[in-house]
Amino acid sequence: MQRKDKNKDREPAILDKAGKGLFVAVFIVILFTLLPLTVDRYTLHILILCQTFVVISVCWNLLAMTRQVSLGHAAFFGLGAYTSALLSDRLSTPPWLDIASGGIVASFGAIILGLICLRMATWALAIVTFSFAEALRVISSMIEFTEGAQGISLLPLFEGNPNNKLFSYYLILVIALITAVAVYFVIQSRLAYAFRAIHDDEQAASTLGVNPALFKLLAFTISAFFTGLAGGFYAHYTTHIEPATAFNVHISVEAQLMPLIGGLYTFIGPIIGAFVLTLMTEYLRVSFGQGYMIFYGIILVVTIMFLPEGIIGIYKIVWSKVRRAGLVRGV
Amino acid sequence: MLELENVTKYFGGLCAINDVSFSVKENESVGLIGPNGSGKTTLFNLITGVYRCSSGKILLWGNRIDGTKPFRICHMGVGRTFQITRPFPHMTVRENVAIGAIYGKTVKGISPRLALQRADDVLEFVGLANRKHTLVTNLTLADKKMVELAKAISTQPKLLLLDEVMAGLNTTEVAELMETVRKIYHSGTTVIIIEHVMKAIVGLASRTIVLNFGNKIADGPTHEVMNEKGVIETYLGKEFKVVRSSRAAS
Amino acid sequence: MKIQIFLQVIANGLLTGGFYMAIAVGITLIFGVLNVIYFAYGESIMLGSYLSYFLFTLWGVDPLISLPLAIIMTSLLGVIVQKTFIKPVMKAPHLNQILLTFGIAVILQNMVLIGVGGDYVSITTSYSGISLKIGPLRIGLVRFLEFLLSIVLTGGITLWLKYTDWGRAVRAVTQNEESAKLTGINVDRVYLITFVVGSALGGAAGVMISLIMYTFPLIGFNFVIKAFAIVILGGIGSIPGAVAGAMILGVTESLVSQYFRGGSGWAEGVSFMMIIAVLLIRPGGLFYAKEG
Repeated sequence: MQRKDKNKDREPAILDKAGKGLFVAVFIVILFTLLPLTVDRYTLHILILCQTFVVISVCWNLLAMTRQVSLGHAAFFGLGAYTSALLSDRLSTPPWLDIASGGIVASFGAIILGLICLRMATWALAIVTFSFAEALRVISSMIEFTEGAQGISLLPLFEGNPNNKLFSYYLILVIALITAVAVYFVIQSRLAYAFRAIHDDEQAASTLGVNPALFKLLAFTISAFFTGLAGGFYAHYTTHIEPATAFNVHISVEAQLMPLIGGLYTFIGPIIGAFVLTLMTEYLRVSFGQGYMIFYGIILVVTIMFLPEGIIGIYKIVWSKVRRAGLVRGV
Repeated sequence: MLELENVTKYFGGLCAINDVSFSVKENESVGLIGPNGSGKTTLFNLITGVYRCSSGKILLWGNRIDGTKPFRICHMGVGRTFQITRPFPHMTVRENVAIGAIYGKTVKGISPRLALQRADDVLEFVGLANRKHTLVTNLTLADKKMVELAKAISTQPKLLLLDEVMAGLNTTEVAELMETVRKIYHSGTTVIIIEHVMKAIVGLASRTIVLNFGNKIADGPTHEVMNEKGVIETYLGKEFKVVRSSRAAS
Repeated sequence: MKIQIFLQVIANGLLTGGFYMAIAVGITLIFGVLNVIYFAYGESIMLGSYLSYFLFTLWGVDPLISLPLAIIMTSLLGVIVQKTFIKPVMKAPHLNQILLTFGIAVILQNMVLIGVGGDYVSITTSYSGISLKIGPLRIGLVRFLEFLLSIVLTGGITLWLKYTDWGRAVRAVTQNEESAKLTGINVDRVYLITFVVGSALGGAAGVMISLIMYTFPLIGFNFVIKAFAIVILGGIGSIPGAVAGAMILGVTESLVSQYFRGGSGWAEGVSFMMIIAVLLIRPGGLFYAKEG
């Protein structure tokens, strides 16, 4: 019992504390701003992918904090991508408008879906979101409006500019930063209390004055909006989207895997997970080829069965062992 | 303050509450007793909006609240504890209590910093201040019950519904909890207490309502109700003499 | 003329529905009895289909003969999956089950992808193109046979549940696990058997698929959604409900295909709309089978 008493003076953090974290954060931001200036085009491309997935990862994690698990996050990514592509193709709107609209359309999708699923059990929502993404994929591959399976082409970003890849990177970096900051503020605010209470016991939270519908929808909308932005960006960056890529199951799988391996419900976890997973995907795609997703299936299975807290869980275990051994005073 | 008019609740074919009516005045302390399954918790669930009435009306200060969502009823000033404690497992005691402090009165809520201060005050009041950074899952049952109570009052309710808060506690713990409830009552809160621990009902409630199979079978001053033959037979099973306690609020 | 088209559409829908029956009953058993959400169910179908394809392509074995082999193979798979993965998570939250079985699905899909590649494959037998003329309607022979086969399988399962000892044990466990244990039923064995039977049905359905549409590693997801849509519509755990749901889905898809512009695309969205509609209106489905 002695050990447990020592813990009582330290507030376990479900809500990440600022402070020392701030220095690290600023350092990392500067790193990511300056680093790309020194790397080659291929690495830059990878970094762009990483940042895109950081957005998706952080958003999925936010939604999961309200116990709404989306198995079809690709739906919002794809909605953003297609909105952006359609606007660009049919109305020749400037990219920033396309991308923003992508986010907006994705959030509308989320509001509607969220309203429908408000009272559903978690597993029901998972099935619904999965079917939603699949339905969008199949339908968009068959109707004329979205040009069917062949997809839509767009003009590249910053066309004619020799530094276009670099500028594309900064664009997605800005989007990722905005997303991270927004989510960070949510996690630091009273919203996090509501989210966590709803996640743990919606009914009990309700009798304490928390409006579950409001916060669940809010989480859904925020999550979808930024994911839609990422999708909108991706469409422009890759200059061509089609149902198979925009609504790909891979995106949905990776969306949940990134926070899972990086550390569910934390702030930094999804970001770490995004980098790890994107790099891993790229490596596997090149060296292993088709079927690399099998590793993700394995990771998913192993994680659920043995490591519910992800990498951060391991980190916590190690950290607490180190503290107990008296090597480091309480934080 | 609180009025139930002909409230009935069916679960499928089962009638859980049958035409129950009563009213509770401000700053009353009412006991609610009855055998297991008589519908006491169901009544609380109906009042707090967790269930909808099959028929009948529930009014709070003259306004109908049946059909209103639980969070709104909380904002109107109704707090409750749950029979089986429902703490938020991954948070500390302080954070658990802070939730009610943040959202107990408004949809928007107050700032976490303010709320944590209020939570500290509440924890001070119930005597849990030294445990405030402990994870709720690491607490003893008595402490968990106290946290449940702390959460309920963190929303500053005018009407507090206590559902078997004493269950599972030993005599010392019961006395401690009773003292805390007394303090809450004396600060102006109206309380309705569901209990099987008769000592608590007698010690805390000036008036008692008895339920059996969803029907109200008695409603009156506690010592009278306790001695009523019908109540004794259906619930207590044998003669149980109650001496009117001078400490019971009346 | 229009009436004839309409009737043909309905007939096609019913035939499809008959085939959907097979996949629905499998999931109904697993979901209804074990209360497990088995997202990898579609992979039983996929594997059954591939087995049929390979036996036919390599050795000329007719799919209808591969049927029992597919059943055996997916049964074995069911045993392995149930003992290794399902058993530990039976009491876990549904969400964990979904994520876990989703992972299993991904693993199985990619094993096949690595093993045989992702090309779409299909079988054409000597009798594939034959259609019967019943009144003004044309009924594909293969689809008709599969319709009958599904009825036989569904009927067989129903009889099994009703009249055999194991079947009764399954029903007892579904209603009340504790009481079943008290009467000496080996609950673990019941769960295993039910899961295996469910998987086997998937394998059988897979063989049927191989004859009427093309196969590729990812078809599992498509079917698992349809299966869940049917089960949610018909009531979790109810076999009559699964049958009804299957028919409704089949007919609705057929109608949408015919009468909506770009129909066959929108038809895929039908299962999704159905899931939403039912979960909105009646979370328990149209038929209730579980007491309490």
